[in-house]
Amino acid sequence: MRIAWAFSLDNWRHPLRHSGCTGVRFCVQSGERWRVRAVRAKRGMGEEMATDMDHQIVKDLTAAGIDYITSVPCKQLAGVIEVLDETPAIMHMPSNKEDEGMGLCAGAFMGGMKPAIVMQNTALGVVVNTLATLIQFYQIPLPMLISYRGEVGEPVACQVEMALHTKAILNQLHIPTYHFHKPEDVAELPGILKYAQMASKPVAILCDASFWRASA
Amino acid sequence: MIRNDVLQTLKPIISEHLVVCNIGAPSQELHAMDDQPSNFYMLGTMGLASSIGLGLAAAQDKPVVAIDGDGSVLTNLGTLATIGNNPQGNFTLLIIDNGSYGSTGDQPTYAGMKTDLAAVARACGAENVQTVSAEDTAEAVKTAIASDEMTIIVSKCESGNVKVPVIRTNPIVIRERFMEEVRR
Ligand SMILES: Cc1ncc(C[n+]2csc(CCOP(=O)(O)OP(=O)(O)O)c2C)c(N)n1
Ligand SMILES: [Mg+2]
Repeated sequence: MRIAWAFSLDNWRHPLRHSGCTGVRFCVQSGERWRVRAVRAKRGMGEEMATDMDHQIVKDLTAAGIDYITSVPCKQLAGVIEVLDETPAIMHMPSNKEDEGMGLCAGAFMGGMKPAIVMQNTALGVVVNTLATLIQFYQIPLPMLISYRGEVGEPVACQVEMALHTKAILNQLHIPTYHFHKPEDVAELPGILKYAQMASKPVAILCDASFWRASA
Repeated sequence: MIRNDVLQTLKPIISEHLVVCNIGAPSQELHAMDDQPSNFYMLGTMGLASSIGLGLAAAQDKPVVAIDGDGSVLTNLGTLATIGNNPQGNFTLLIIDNGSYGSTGDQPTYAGMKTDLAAVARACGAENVQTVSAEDTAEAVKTAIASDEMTIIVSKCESGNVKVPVIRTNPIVIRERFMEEVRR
């Protein structure tokens, strides 16, 4: 399936979240102009960009008992992150780098929560050591919801470079890996989340451009 | 005073609490002087003790002390922004600032030169940040644990290590017994 992304530039956000506060303001660079957005629930304004698929994913996460999530944004994950911030059952604590995020998840797990991380596939270049020496060494269950940039439909050439290494890195680390290509693939998510807990392992769920596009 | 001396003074204060300890010599020294199921030792990942401590503090109510090092905080500097923006009242971050990468042979860090980690922490949004001498560290940690406010303590001490064995405890054992302490 062919892709034409509605937004041409990456978006990012300021982690202005304080404990006990549900509102998160973040900036989205859309086309030429900057908009300051606020989470609807808090401010009663702003335009909803989350799709039914984004809602479905977060519903599956909460149904599996996931109650702590850290994230570093990707354009493909913007909708999911928006829903996370509107979901009181989930403590969403954005991190600055994905290895830091995995440290947060390890702590949350030992504190009795069920963590997950939301990240871009390029981050696999950052987290190899942490996956091996923290998450795998101490056997911490960790679902990784990963946007799979650089696949068919990708507008940014540089993203292809890490896409080429994505599955190789995951294979090398013996990480159970699932690839969502079509919207119906999401039906596997509940089973995958259960599997991660059962196995006490990190698992990767790669969601490519075709998946997101067809789910929009 | 070197790190091991500071840890000695901390022993009666942190022994009963949940402690997440930095990789290498810090964990080995703590393990040798006062191995406790309530200690979580980092055996291989540099830089994440503060992140694990924050996640742990956010997930449950017991006091958490993360003992980190200047070199490890520098390698994961973003942690201070996450901590500053997500203050947890039950969290104390103690940065043992010996101005060096102690475990690997006391190579100098930038924290021992022009970089002031306490100022970085404040600029990252942390509201309760103190720089203390090695001698005053135990008292500062005691006060921080008792208080409802998240505290970051930068403890200035001398560079140096004592000779202690590596930790041979199985990582799953370390993790399981630690989680039992959390649940207790
Ligand atoms: C990614 C990575 N790089 C380098 C190392 C080697 N290393 C282990 S401990 C350490 C020094 C940590 O220094 P600091 O946090 O200041 O602790 P100190 O021993 O000085 O108390 C280094 C460089 C490592 N474990 N991981
Ligand atoms: Mg040091």
